[in-house]
Amino acid sequence: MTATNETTPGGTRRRIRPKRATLVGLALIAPLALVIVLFLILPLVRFVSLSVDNRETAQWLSHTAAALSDWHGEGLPADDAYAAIARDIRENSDSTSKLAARLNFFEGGMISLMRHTAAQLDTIPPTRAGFVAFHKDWGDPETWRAIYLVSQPLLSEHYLNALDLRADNPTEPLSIEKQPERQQIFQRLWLRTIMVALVVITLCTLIGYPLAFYLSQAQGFAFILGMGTVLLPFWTPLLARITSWQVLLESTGIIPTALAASGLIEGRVPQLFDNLFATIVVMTYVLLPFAVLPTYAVMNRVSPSLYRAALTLGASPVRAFFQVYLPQTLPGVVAGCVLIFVFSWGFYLTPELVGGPGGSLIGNQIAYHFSSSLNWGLAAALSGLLLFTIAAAALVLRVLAPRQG
Amino acid sequence: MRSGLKTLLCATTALALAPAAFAQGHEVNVTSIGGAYQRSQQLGYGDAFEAAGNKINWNVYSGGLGEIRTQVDTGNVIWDLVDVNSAEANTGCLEGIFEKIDLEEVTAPAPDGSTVEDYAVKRTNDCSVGTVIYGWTWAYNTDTFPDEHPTTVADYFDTGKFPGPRGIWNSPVQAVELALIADGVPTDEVYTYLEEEGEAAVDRALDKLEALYNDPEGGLVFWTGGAEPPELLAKGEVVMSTGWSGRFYNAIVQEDAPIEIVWDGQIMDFQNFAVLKGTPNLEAAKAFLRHATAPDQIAATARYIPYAPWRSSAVRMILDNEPWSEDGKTNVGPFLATNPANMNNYLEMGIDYWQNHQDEVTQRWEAWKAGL
Repeated sequence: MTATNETTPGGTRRRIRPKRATLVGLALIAPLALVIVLFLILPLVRFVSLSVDNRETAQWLSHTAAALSDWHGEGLPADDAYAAIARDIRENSDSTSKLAARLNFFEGGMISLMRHTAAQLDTIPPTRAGFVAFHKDWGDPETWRAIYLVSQPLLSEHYLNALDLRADNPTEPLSIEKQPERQQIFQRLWLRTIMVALVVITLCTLIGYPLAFYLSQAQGFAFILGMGTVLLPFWTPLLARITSWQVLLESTGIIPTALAASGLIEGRVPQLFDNLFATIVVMTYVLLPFAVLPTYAVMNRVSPSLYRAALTLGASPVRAFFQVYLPQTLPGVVAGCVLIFVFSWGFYLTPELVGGPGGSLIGNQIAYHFSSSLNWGLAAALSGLLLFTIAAAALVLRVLAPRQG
Repeated sequence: MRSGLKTLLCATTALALAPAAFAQGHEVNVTSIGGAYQRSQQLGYGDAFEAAGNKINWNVYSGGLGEIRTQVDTGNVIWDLVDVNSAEANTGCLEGIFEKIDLEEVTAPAPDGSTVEDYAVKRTNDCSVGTVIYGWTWAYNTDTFPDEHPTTVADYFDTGKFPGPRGIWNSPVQAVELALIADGVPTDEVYTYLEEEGEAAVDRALDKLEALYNDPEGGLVFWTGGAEPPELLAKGEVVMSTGWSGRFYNAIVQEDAPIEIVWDGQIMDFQNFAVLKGTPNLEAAKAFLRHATAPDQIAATARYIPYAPWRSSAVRMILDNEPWSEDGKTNVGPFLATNPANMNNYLEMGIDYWQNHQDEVTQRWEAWKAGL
């Protein structure tokens, strides 16, 4: 903050002492700042750090990591690595099942391999030949690729997996290749999520702008009715609003039944529920108020005399709208679009309830990996990418967006 | 520090003396998986055990070995007995979190005097004691298909003969098996095929399911809770759905829903009791096991849920005294997974396969679903 000189209406100059004003200001926002740091920033940093922080698992494999330090990521490591992992399993027997689960995130089948190995450890000679004779997977370089990844305190593999990529050679972080085709899901989901966000923004703007215009012009009862229609859903629980769409859209629901009865559609009524269509429709419905309200607030401040002046000066109504009215209301539209983008980017409940597999978004994968597969590293990497995209989008909008005078 | 030690000493003494207070009866903590199933256990043999002067503290958990591991690892065993499926029983026994139980010691003799040989199924580890058997089945809506109705697994995938969407559990368990059977893998070779072919076998099953999903005459609806399949069927949202036999039974008998169970391709699954390692109430737990698995006691649970006892003599008792259901008019026999009429084309749950591969196949399943 810099020292400011203000001119009071009386004309005398009064000096505000800068230091004190700053202190008072800081003191006033301190509780808010503290709450934000404690309950937003710290948990966020902690959670996103899970995507790269692998220290706990690396600790269980400390001897293996040392033995693998001269391994180049190709073929099988030497005998000492097998002896080291036998020692690590023995010394951390309490954590074997957790370790096995984490290895399994990078190589299917590791849970059973680790479980059987741990149970029979005393009977296996701690050499390469001994391990491979016990189970053929110990002779698979992919097994050692997973072990190497998990033995390092810092992990970039979750971020690669979140983009359908993987490190070809675990010891060289830049040897990136595509995941096998059957395991590629995230690129498709990222694209679908972006596409849904853009479609929902477009639909909300197309429906919301005329609605906001109507509200800004309406008087008396019409205004109360219109505003009530926009605000009422805000006061209804989200879950109730979403499930009521199920009653409308499911194949024995109101809309398909009506369509079939009206004879408008020949043959079977296309499926309207449990797919991408339902996700887009319900998301548009849920997010519509966020398009209407900011636009309405801006429209209310626009002076009607400017539009009339344009008409008086000879502009056609269409030209007056595009050159005079629209530019003045654009900040409201942009604000609505930003809100909807941020919300729809992380949408999870609506696709979960109405979208079926074809209408699920990246948020559903985060929820799945966070609560079901317990792959918190991947969930954190996906969340991190989500967060970075929003930050980047916000920056771009800040540069591009029209400023209000 | 000194007073802390003293408190600890007092507490230990109190704990050591506690069992003496219940010298006449046993007190035992039993944890099961809730719902209609746990009700059948309480009414079937729990109440009788308590009437004999014992005490049962019932708990509910959601399955899985996590909580059990924590209790045993920390030496703080609160549950004495847990109700587990066979995969969990095998894993837990291997990990050493369950007590080894001598089956002979806890088996009350059948009317003909047989004990261990009375079990129709052999247990697959040295720890657990088998209780009841249920079926992973599928069913159809009898209003939709009143005359010609689906009878085989192939019909579940045949949208030409039986058009309409199908319900399926949102998990590869059962879905993969059904798809492979319908695709021509002999029922008794499904798990060996899955073990040998690995990912290729799973892909074959997923391709079969994907064809059904994309079929304009078919379609798949994924359900997550056991209560959903009867509801989806009754509402007409799906024309067929997979589900657990007990849930369909409740909808048919109690709600008169237009549903018929198809037993072709049923996957038979097994429930057990296991005793937590290091429990202070080992003798009480054994007494409970001997009581609960006695033929008349275990048979009584089938009055409340149609799950077949492991013990042959208990099944005979049910069939000889029909109608066995608590409503006094429904025959339980037709709903038992072990009824020979329901076993024409069945397989036993691939405990080893799923124990070893569930995580990776589930990952594959999720990837497949996200790409639909």
